[in-house]
Amino acid sequence: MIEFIASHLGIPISNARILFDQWLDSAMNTLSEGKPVTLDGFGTFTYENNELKFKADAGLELDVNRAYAGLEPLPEEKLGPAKLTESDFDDPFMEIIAPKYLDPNRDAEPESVEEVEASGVDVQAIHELPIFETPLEEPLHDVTPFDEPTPAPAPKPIPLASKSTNVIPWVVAALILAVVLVGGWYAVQWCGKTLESEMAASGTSENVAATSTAEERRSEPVAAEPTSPIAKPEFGLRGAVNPLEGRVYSIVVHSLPTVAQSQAECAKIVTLGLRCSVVPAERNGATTFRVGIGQFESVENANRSVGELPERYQTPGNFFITRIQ
Amino acid sequence: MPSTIEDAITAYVREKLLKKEHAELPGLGSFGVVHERSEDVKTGKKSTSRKPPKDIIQFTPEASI
Repeated sequence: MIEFIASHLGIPISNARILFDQWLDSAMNTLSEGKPVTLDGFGTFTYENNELKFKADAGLELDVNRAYAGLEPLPEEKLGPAKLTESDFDDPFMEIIAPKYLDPNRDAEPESVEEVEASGVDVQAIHELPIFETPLEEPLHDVTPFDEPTPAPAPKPIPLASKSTNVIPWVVAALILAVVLVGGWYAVQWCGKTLESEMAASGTSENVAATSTAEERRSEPVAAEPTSPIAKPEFGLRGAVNPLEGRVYSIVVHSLPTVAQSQAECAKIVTLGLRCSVVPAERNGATTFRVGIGQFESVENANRSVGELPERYQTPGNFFITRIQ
Repeated sequence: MPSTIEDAITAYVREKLLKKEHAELPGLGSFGVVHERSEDVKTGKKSTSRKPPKDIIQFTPEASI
């Protein structure tokens, strides 16, 4: 300290020490008299209750606290990072949103709904505030406008997640529909083949049965007249003899020993518009040739047609119904 | 340049205190700077206020006085 005083006063250290000692004696005498000792820009010493006290000069305190200059105690309402500051009131909508804050003598920020309503906030006006989703045509502040209008922002791409979320149910539905259609098509194909194979199998057995039956009792019917190539395979009393599958019954009106005799009778019957066929049959070791009228799928149908025969054939004992195929 | 002994003493102590250092005046006492942290102070039953930080000039008189 003495060196500092000496260098600053430009005097030797010894003189500086003498000067300081003189000042100290003077100050202590003043203090002992109960008077304060004041150093401008430094502070004031006082001697009270046998105790030396010092009060720093306001300027010195201010210089020492220069790093914290301007800080004031914060009220509770302003604590926390979410509280508004003065700069927040530059918002042009502040007059509508919270006019209370524009009042320099404002109170604390209203926290409850009641306080907000009481502060004069126009809630309806807040809801009606415009929402700018596109760049403003006119800037809110003094901004030099561009020569060319600012291009509108590119539309945001739809996130892939939401896209796939919408498409997935349709894809799944389409797949299910495709599987059902393909499965149905294969089922129809399979059923068709099964029916065909069953019909083919039944036809073969019938043929086998018919063949074996013919070996025992009869052979294929001999048509009295050539059948029409366009004749349809149908049953009935009239028409041409058609090759039919399955069981076929006929009304036998003659049983003659020779084919010629049977065919002669058959020719007469055909002239009446009736369907006639000659069927060989073995009986008691002898072969006869039956003349049958009509082709029927059952005995009942054949019985119903008896009434349509010429009267000479309708007499009981003059005909009988038998299976010819 | 300080022109009096009082100005020199003031300049010495100010320089030390602004550097947050201790300054000693022999025969009188020592000076120092004590930092006081920011703290919340109750101002009512449900209200508090936060005091800003502060550096306090502390004087300790010499024991002989």
